[in-house]
Amino acid sequence: MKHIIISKSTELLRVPVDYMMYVSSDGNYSNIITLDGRSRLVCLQLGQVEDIIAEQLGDNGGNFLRLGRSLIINTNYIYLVDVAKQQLILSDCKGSWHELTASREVLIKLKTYIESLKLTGNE
Amino acid sequence: MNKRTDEIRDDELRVIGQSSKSNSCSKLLKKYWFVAVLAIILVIATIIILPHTSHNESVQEVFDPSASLVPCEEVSEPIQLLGDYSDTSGVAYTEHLQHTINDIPLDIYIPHNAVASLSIGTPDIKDKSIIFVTQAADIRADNGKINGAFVLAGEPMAWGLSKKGFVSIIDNKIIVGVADNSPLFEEATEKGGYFFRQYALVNNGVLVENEPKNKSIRKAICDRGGEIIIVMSQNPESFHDFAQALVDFRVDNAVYLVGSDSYGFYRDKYDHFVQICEKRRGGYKYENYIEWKVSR
Repeated sequence: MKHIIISKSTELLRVPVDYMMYVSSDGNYSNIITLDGRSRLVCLQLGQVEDIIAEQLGDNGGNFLRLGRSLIINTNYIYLVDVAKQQLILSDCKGSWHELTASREVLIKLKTYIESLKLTGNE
Repeated sequence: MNKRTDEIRDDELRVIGQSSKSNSCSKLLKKYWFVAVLAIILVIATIIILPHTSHNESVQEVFDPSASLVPCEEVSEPIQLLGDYSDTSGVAYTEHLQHTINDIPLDIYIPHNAVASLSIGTPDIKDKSIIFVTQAADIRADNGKINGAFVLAGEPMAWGLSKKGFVSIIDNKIIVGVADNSPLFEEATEKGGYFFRQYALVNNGVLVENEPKNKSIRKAICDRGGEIIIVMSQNPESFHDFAQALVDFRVDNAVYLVGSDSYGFYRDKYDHFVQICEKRRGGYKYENYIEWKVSR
């Protein structure tokens, strides 16, 4: 099982990639939300978390999308993209359920992106 | 790494990892360019320096008078503690001193035998366990909430970085510092500690410039040779002049506290209650304070 490892001077966070649902920006910090609903605040900007994911997963990081300035999501858990309501729901359809908001433009792009995956059979 | 954060707009979507190959290539290219430039500089430097070194190879003698002309690092005197620590009775009080640095008269407050913490809401002046209190983090004008990251007894109350200075109180230990990201925020949340952000004034003995140029009564919490002191200007001063005075006062690290006519009081050695500034009417819900209380 692959893990994302975030190592700081006094702390090491090790999250299984498949259990990482999304990361949200909190000013200069980021919240990592895992499948069990737990949230972990890390002293990194969202861009730095994005770099760590890209560095550690390389091409396999494609499951993760950066949505605007405040979100990184795991595409495996996209359940609903509602452009009109500016709503994005991430769920594993078992019990983990997160309702997020994003800009209309980014949700349109997300919808198009997921549709393109379906067409190319990449999903 | 930070740069990338700003390279995305709110309406943009980016697939993570796809550009990593091209990024790594460009990084590699940059790396080799750097090595090439460094090599050229080294070659040029060698050509210039070599002929001179052959003339300067004479061995310096022990009693060579020129040896005394070699500039040596200035040895500064060790910092003397400001406070009076002769009282061993363990009674909590605040020592008040006055110093003038660069023609700037300063009030200096040193809490003794007390433990620091943060609080939200106006402290009770009747609470005799409080021996020093002054306002800590700023309040946002737009929503009345605390500006910058703030942890109260382990509970994060506000997030974000608007100012680089920070103060953490963890296990009764105060750390005054300057950093974009500090693990002390997380440590404070884990250990039931306290954390807030404010303007940085002095970082490792070096003045930190700040944007506001107006003059006002300035306050700061300072680490001076390991001694935590609160310094307040008696007259309105600019950030620069106040910070320079702190540097010249040999403060290692200093972080601003809410200045101007912000509320504060202390109790002296004789249990006299002294108000630093009177409480204004009204105030904000999230008005917060750093206070020193009798340790129990």
